[in-house]
Amino acid sequence: MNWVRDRASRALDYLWGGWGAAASLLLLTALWEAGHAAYGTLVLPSPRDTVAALVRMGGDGRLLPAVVETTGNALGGFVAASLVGGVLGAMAGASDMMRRLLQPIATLMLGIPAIAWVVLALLWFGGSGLAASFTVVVTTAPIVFSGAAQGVRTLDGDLRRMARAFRVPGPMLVWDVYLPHMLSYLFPALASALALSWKIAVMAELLSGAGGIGDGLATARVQLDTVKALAWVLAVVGLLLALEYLLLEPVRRHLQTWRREAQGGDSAMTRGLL
Amino acid sequence: MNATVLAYGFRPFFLLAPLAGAAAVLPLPMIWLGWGGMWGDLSIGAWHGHEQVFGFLSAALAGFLLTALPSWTGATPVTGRNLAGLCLLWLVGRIAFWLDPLLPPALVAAADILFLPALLVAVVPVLRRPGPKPWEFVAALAALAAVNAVFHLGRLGVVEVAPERAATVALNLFQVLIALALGRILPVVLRSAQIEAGRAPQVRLMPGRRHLAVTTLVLFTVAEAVVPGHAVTGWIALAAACAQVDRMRECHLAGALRRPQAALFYVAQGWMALGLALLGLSALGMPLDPAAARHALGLGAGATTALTVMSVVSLRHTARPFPLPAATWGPAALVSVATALRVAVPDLAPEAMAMAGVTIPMLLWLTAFGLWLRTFSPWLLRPRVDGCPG
Repeated sequence: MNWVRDRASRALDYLWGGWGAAASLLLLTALWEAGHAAYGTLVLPSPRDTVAALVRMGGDGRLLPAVVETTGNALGGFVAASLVGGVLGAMAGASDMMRRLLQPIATLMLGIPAIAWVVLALLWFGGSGLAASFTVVVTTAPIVFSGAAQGVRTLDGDLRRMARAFRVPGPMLVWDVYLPHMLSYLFPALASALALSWKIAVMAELLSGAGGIGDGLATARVQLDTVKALAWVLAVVGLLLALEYLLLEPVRRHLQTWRREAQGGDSAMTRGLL
Repeated sequence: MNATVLAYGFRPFFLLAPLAGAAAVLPLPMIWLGWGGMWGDLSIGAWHGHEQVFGFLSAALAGFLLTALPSWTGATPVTGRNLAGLCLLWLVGRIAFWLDPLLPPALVAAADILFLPALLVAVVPVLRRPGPKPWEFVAALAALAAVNAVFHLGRLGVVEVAPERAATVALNLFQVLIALALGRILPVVLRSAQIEAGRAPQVRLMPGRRHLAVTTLVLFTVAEAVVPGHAVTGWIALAAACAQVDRMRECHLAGALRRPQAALFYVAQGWMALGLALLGLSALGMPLDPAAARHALGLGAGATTALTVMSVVSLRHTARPFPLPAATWGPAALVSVATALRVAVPDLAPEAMAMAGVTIPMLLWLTAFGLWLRTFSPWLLRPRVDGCPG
């Protein structure tokens, strides 16, 4: 019963934090409105016109397919990047030889600007969704790689030896000793890779014209339609905010439970989200 | 006035504030019964707004500041002859406003303009005390005095500001003052509420929440002063509303909201958030009555906070122990019902305005202050129960 109440209170705490976030975003909207008042619709359309345009686009049936397409491109690339980066990173963390082999390559990949990858991907795959997904993979995999390598390399040897001495079974060793430690490094890397993958996907779509939100942005640019361009931007921002507050932040808080409990006391009261 | 009444700042001003609040609504039915909409050359709306803000709320503020600031900083409180002088200055302003149709506006201005600067002079010495200085209250008070001056200068035609606009800015300044005062009051009352509810007190408030609440209110006040009714002001009002709701989280402590000292401040913050949200939506083009929304700020947030602060201060500074008497709930509940009617009727049932929107809220308001005075005026008129001075 107490457990349920504790969870409920924590959930309320989290949801209530949304008000503070809303205050911050509304102040930004006020700044936007002031920019509109100063420079006019051609430079900066008003927030209300932009939302109206977004709603119109939704009504026309243009918004949802574009969002689905971009999400597909971004998520496909992200999943592949997590697998490749995660496995290679774990190998690099576990073996010194692999680290010597792979680290410089990851550093090199991180150094190549995403826009350069877009150009290469367009030459290789043409104007298709594959180009966007590929760009997402090559730009985000090195980030996941670094996180995974760090996580494995810093595993506490003493803890491992103690677990062995107590004859902890293998699955429990992985689940209760390795994984929580790994996640504290891997999760931030995955979170930034996920957020980045959307932005990269939109950029690749914009240049390739392969549909999705980026394509809509490109069309708005050609038509000099600032309202529509800003509405597309709003769509991306909305997706990112939803991703951050509905998926990443709750997971982050769940993973950090041990930190809260280690402090003891009425932590749910004092650790607000925002 | 006897010596006890002048023994501490809250005593005379908490007796005067309810009387001023009651007096400020009496001419209202005149408009709605069709007997004319002017009080002298002022619209009844401007007159009523000025009296509620600079009469009723300012008296409550004076009582609070003259009591709380010395007790936080250890400064010598204003008592006796000086306190009587302050009360007199306040009273002269009220009398002048009541006789407004008979007096030249310049004389009314001269009579009304002195009280807030005098109060400022009376509280400034607290800044010279060692330790943390409550400069934010002094600054807000100075701003309030300046806005009252603008009200009169606008009326006299010296500056091009409508008196109504000055009154709204003053009301917004009061929201800032409420948010500031809650920062000092809430830790104390939440603790006492939790103890009364039989819980171990665990009050750890995050300063970020209240600073965001105050900052957004200051931005809103400035925006309404500079570009009233503009969409930018609308968005800032919505941001301020969200920041107030965010701050209401401070009261979500086990058991606390079952006690009046915490629950009534919570209600006041709720009214403030609602008023700001309605003002914001109206500035963004929704067909809502801004005057109704301002009553959520003045009547809802302002009067509920004033009643609760007056109750808590009267209790503590006459050396009585918690719990607050039942007479704290009743008047506050009546004020909330009055607010709900005054805010909802203009938008939902404008044809019922004269009765349900003005007359009934007015009667509830008068009853509320009658009930409050019946319990608390004996406390304010008699010495402390422990026999100490003050």
